[in-house]
Amino acid sequence: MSLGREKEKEIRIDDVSMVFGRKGREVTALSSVSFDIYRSEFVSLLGPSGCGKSTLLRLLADLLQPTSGRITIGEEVPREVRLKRKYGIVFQSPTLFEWRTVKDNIELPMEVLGLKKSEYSAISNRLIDMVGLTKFKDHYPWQLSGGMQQRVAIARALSLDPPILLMDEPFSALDEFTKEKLQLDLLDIQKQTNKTIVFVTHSIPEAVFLSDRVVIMSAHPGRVHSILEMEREEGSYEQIRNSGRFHEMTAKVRECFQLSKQQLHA
Amino acid sequence: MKEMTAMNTERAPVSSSLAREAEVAKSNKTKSASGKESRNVWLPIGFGFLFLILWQLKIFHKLFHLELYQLPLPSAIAEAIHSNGDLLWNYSLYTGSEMIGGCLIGSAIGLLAAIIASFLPKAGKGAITLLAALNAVPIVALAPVMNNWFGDGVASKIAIVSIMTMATMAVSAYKGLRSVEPAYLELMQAYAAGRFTVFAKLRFRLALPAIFTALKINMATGIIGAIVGEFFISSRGLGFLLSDQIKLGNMPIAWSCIVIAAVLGIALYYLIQLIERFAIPWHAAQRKQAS
Ligand SMILES: Nc1ncnc2c1ncn2[C@@H]1O[C@H](COP(=O)(O)OP(=O)(O)OP(=O)(O)O)[C@@H](O)[C@H]1O
Ligand SMILES: [Mg+2]
Repeated sequence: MSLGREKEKEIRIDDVSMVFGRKGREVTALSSVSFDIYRSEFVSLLGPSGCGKSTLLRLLADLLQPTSGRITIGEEVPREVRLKRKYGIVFQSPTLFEWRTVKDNIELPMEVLGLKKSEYSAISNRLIDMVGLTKFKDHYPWQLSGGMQQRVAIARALSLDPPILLMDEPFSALDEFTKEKLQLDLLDIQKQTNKTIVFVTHSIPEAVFLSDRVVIMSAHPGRVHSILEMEREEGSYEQIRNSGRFHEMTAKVRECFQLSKQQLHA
Repeated sequence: MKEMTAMNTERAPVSSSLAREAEVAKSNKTKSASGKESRNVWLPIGFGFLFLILWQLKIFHKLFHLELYQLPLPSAIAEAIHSNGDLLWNYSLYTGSEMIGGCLIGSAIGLLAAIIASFLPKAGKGAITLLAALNAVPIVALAPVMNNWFGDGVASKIAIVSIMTMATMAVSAYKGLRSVEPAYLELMQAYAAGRFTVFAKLRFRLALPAIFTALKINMATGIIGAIVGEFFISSRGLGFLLSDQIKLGNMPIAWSCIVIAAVLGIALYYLIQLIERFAIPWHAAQRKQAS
């Protein structure tokens, strides 16, 4: 969806730095990170462990405040966006409530918002079908595999149908088939609802397959190494995955990724 | 949100992988070993009977050089319970109501204190630490004071038991309410949940196991409080009867009081366990039994 570029900027990240810890024992998780994300764009954050991907996502979600710099989402600061529940978030771990069934877990954000059960029951049922957990909707998290738990977390993030989705390695615990299905579902959702998606991943093919742009980060301190434009193609999953273009782009991203790592060791 | 129903049902590999996961999850669920659970019940009962038989055969008397008037036989105690049935029943109700009443009042006050403290992160911790000091107050000192305040009826022992149990509940529940993993707090924050919502939907749920543990401890403390309280101030109840009959050398009746108190304690323990099982079926202890 390279059309997104002509559209307006949705998220502006302007010279953002994040330093953890007290004086003397500081850890610079992010150093002068600046880039923009367009409305309805799919942006992946790719980088070695510890380069600050999760930290950046937390800053966007207003779960952390930057040490310096500014983040603007639409015309608002992240805090307003959070209070208006304009984003859905999937953390690196499923963070399900163990006393709630699959269905109740998915309904949590709608419950917190103060909607009535009669209003949201149909929504959660649709989401359960989508993530393939229809038979498990009355199961508890401990009765599910890790991948199934993560699917519940994804459905929960979609429950308020937010314009922005923040996802921290949501598919990394899934088997290939489920991953493929959910990747396609996510693209479908984005196409139909024009969500802006910020997606953290370790997988280069996944980033290439899903993204409009891939932001490659380097670590210590966390910085943006390069931003690569992807050309998304039409076609089936296999067609795209086997196309020459896909391989070309994967190679390009891999090259940048290697460079960003070398920078780390230099 | 209609758009989200988009599902690629025609993708065979996907559905087969889902089906496989379903199998795994189901077999995990049905593996609950009912045999193991029943063994958990029969083992203590078996040991209990063995203990009674050894007792009746005077094995303990030989071992510890005890005379029959010092340690009556189970048959003599049963006989004493039978012939004093009405009195023991009335006294059991009396002592039981002191114990349960005090335990419930004390636990309720402790829980309330913990909840209020959990909303005041800084002042709360200090207040709970202060309340914990109540645990250091000896019942020997408490009993005469409560007698002086509330007379020698049920009220003084309920007061004693309340004071003895509130700190345990306050400390335990407060710990439970505050020990939330940061990831879960972040999740609630991401959905802009207020402090009361976080309490009701997250903290309280997480604290339930700690609350039930404190209740069980408090029931045991409650028996001690009620009976020892009656030693000092009472003309009724199991504790009164126990100390009275020991002075008279009427050991079978004294021992009936001990037996009844023990049975009362065990019964209440299991009652709370039963309620716990319904209230927090997800709790790890029960989950282990199920899988
Ligand atoms: N709450 C925190 N307190 C102190 N340091 C932190 C905190 N959170 C993150 N860091 C540090 O910031 C750096 C970036 O962490 P972050 O979790 O954002 O990395 P990441 O790119 O998501 O890594 P991974 O791919 O392993 O998830 C790390 O060096 C980490 O130790
Ligand atoms: Mg991370």
